[in-house]
Amino acid sequence: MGTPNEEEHGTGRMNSGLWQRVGRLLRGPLGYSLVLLAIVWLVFPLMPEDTGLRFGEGYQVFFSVMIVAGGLFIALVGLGPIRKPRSDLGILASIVLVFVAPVALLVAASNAYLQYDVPKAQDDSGVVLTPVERGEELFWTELGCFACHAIDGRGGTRAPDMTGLSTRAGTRVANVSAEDYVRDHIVQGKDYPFTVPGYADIMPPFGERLSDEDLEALVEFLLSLE
Amino acid sequence: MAVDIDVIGARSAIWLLSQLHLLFASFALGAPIFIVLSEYLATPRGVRNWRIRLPLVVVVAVAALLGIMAMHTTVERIVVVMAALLLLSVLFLITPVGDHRYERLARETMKAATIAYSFAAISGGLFAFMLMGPYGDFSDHLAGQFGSIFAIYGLLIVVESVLVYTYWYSWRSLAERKGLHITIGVVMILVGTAMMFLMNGVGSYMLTPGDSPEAASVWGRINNPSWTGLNLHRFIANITFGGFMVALFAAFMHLTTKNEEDRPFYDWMGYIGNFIGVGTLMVLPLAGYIYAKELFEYDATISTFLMADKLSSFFVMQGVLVSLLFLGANYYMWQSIQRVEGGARFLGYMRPILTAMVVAAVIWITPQTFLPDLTTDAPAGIDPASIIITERLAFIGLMMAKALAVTGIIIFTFLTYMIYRRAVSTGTIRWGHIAPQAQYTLIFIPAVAVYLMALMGAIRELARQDWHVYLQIRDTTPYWFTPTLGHTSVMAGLSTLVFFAFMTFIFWISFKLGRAD
Repeated sequence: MGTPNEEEHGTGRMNSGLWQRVGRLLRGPLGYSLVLLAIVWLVFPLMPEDTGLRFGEGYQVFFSVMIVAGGLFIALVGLGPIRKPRSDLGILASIVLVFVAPVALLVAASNAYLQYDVPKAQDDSGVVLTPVERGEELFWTELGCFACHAIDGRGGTRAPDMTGLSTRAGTRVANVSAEDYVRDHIVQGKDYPFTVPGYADIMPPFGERLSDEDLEALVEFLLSLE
Repeated sequence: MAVDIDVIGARSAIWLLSQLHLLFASFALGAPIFIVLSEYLATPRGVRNWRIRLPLVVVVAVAALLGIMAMHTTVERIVVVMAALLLLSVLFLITPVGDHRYERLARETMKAATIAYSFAAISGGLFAFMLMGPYGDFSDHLAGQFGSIFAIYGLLIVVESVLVYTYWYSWRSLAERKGLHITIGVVMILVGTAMMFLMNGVGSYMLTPGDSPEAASVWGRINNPSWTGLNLHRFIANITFGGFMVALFAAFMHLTTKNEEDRPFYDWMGYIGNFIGVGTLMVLPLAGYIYAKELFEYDATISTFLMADKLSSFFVMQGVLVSLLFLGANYYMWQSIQRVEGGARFLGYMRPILTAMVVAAVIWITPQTFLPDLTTDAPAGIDPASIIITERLAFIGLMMAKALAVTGIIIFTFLTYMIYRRAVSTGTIRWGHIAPQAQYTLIFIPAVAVYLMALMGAIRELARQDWHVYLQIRDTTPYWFTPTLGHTSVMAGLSTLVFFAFMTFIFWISFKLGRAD
């Protein structure tokens, strides 16, 4: 047993060693990760909302996961040579683990992502839709118009928003009625002589894909939008 | 649906079989490209050089002539001539190094590729049988549209089988006639590639059949708007895949071999496999853009469906996977630098470069929204604003930012390779003196690559939405809808693990059991 002085010195050396180790860790990937996490959770929320620079909570979680994963990776690359298992079985198990674990993680991450609903079998025999309802069904499902066009902010942005189409369709092309404008545009797509300014000429022609009834139903639905 | 399959359903069963067929076929077609190149590199420097090169020049010239005759437009003919010139310039510029290790690499890889070829044929046959049952009407349609192509394809399978087995079994007997043996190898590659291009024609027709496929000729259906893009992408990807599979095999052997003398060779082989994989991986994003551009020009709604609607989250996962591939490959290169004498002095660059790559990867995979498609609402209790990027920050989610991030990753990969070259130029490589984690990285990379191939294959097929042939034949089976990312990931994961199990069997039977005998 050492003297109290020696013990004090020993404890002091241990403490300074611990602090040195903590200091080294904080100067490395762990420290950088903590700083970045602090920015994500403490600085991001301070951004005034009207600046448009504030990430939502979903993105804060996403960035946190990225920071932790990135930090672990950078910490890993600094490791010296690891020890290989000694037995044949151990080596084989380690190979299987290295192959299977990333696959399992990728499957888990994909399942953690928000999923859309897949259709369930339903008996819709005997249901009669009005033309506007049928047009709405075509827009949101069968034709997938929503992929490029939005209504009330829902849908794609590659093509004009359809909200309020009834009020402007008749004014797009001189001497062409709203019905004719919408109908011909659907049928001819990018071959139609007029394209709304600011948008690329990319709409496929839908004429051959639609029966006369469905075409009229879609026109009626679009012109019901105010 | 006339016939369904219990438990997993017809779609999932066919999905699994077609994916396994593609994985085996990719390896069996991609690996021979550098197997033959390795055999050529192994030939003695300068000895009988023209006797080796001349037959190859003749084969390339004949193939180019056939290609020019088959093409319809001037642009297509120019592409064929340019490809032929590129191949010829490779033949003239790359000279044999006389390193016997290339010969061993070629032989050992071909041993596994020959067995993989058998598996590709078996899984392809099972896939075709399975398709005829539950999807009988659709199979009839394909047979009607491509009957003559299927006949040619069948004939080519026979020719390719003869070539594969002749190439493999004549290795020793033609050891003194390398020119002839390598020429058999080149013809084998050309026939295999022609087979792939034919089936790419059928596959790409299903997505981009053109305006009036019924009126088009068989060649018109094959040479459809996205055929070139798919051919280019798959050709390069097969080489990438072959490279990574060779690296997997080398790592497997490096870790399990009892013979210390083998270790330097398998270390070198893993390095070469990874080098080929990464070298071609760097040009794959460009090939991907060319393919995507063809789809966009054909029908912009397909692109929207891919990038902004139901498949957008699939592309987030694609970004994760490709980033992991690049990070893994770069980490391996840094481990490789440490086996060079005096290489440790370059390690100061490692963390900054890898950190920059991680930042670029995060930019790449940051989505514009976490909503899975354009019509799904935010789940109850979650504010939609919290999972949609704000308008001012939306540029991070746009293609321009993603393209810059990918370019950054590629540039940093190139930089890492330059540092490796610099280290090698000033010190000796001590093959076999590498940390075990480098070998584990060579196992991790193929796991990600196989999963990525399975996911990207699913994306390409799902781009058809609820059509067997886009806008021509509607899918009216109970499986007409686009499956979720979760379901797709399970299928991709399952394909990856089953493929890995088969490849382990191939390695074991070829190099453990086979060697013991």
